[in-house]
Amino acid sequence: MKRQTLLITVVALALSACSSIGAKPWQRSALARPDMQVDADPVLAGLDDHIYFSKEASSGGRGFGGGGCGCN
Amino acid sequence: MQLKNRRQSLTAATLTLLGTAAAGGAQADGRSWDIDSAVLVYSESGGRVQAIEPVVKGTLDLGGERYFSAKLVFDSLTGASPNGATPASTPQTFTGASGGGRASVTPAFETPLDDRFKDTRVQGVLDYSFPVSANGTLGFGGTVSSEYDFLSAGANLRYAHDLFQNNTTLSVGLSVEADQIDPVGGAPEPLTRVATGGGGGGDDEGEGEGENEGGGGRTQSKTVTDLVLGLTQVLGPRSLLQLNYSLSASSGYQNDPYKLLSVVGSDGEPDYYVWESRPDSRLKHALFARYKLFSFNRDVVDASYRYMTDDWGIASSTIDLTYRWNFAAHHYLEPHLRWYTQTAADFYRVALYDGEDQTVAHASADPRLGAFDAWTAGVKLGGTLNSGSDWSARLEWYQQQSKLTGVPAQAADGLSKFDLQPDLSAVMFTVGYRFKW
Repeated sequence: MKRQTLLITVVALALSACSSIGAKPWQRSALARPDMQVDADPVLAGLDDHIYFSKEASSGGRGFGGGGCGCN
Repeated sequence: MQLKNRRQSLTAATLTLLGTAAAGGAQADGRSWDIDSAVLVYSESGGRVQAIEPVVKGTLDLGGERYFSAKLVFDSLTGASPNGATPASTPQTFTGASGGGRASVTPAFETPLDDRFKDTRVQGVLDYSFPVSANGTLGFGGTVSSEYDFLSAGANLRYAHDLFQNNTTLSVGLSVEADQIDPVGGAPEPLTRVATGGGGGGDDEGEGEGENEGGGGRTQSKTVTDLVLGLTQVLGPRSLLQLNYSLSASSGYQNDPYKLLSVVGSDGEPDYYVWESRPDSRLKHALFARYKLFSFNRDVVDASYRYMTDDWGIASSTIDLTYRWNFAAHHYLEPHLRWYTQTAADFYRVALYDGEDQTVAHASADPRLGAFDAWTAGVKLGGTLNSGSDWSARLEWYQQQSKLTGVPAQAADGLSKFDLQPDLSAVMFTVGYRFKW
């Protein structure tokens, strides 16, 4: 029971923290810019992923890690 | 009047069928493709790998937040790549697997390269995404990639859900890829002896048991399944945070069929060579975090970090930083720095000591499985033309600095006279052009 109360308190605190972050619809001009998108240049990012996939032992993270190539 | 109304409603119905409903804000006067194209030129120093990779991607806005895209990638590679063998005090001769059996001689004290490395790859990707509810978007895609010794087909499904007035986006993606590998001359049996064309460095025990010329192996296959869970959170009017966890499970043939290892004596000189052997599965976990900030009411900071670990014993960290300086209304300059570090796979070995090939289960001298740090530094210049088209040009330098691990203790003195893991450096130049068509 104690643990449940603690959990509810933590979740409520987390949600209240969420309500203070973010942007209102009328505050989104910067966030709507093409250069502020999480994947602003997907074609270039794809080329980078392919180079690093074929030269290093890591892949993925940003998206799917499969390379679709026999280079590694 | 009634006729006019009827015609209007018919027009509206037709547009709806065509997917150009006014709700999506789409133009009734014909759709256009957004074409995103780029060409990458990649050049390693020392006559190693050279590559040219053109890409073209077209995205069609079907209205109502529905998008169809098609992407085509060509990839042409030439040059030399290390075959895994260590240098020797005398010339070494290899009949490179990818060269169709012709012999090449590596001069004394030089890193043996498979110098007839040549490949062309073609990849096609199709994708479609559409809303399934007021806050949910579904996407699916397929990809096919073909090389002379490799064929890959994959499919993926993604779902993204917006919450809290679009301040939070949760996403999940699943991808499955099936690969078929047809090595030139067949897939060699792991840890069996490589047939060499004779030569000073090798002991050249031609009739050695278990010798394998790389012939006879069947077509090999592997499947890769990826799961990605994502959270994107708007932190404020000028910043956002993206967090991803990804799991990648690969099972099947993981070897590089052209990579071998030297088996050396205590003098560090090769007695013979064996084909590499990797486990037949690999499980990778990755955590990725990206922070974006619109700064000085003009520029964009993009900082990301990735931690990856797998069950081969490899752990890596990647830090990536770009600063987009929008110095004029339609032009920008974007410096880029990337730092990468990885530990070696448990079975990574520079070489094996005499007879060790009979006792180990797995071994690979592929430098990509060794420990190293890597730096990328570059700059991108871009702009928007009066027509609305975007262009960019990027020049980057890539440098790997290896950390020597996996040296057999009994041969460490003998091998110390060689440069066992030469550093890799490359120059990359990319031009990009986006336009409406």
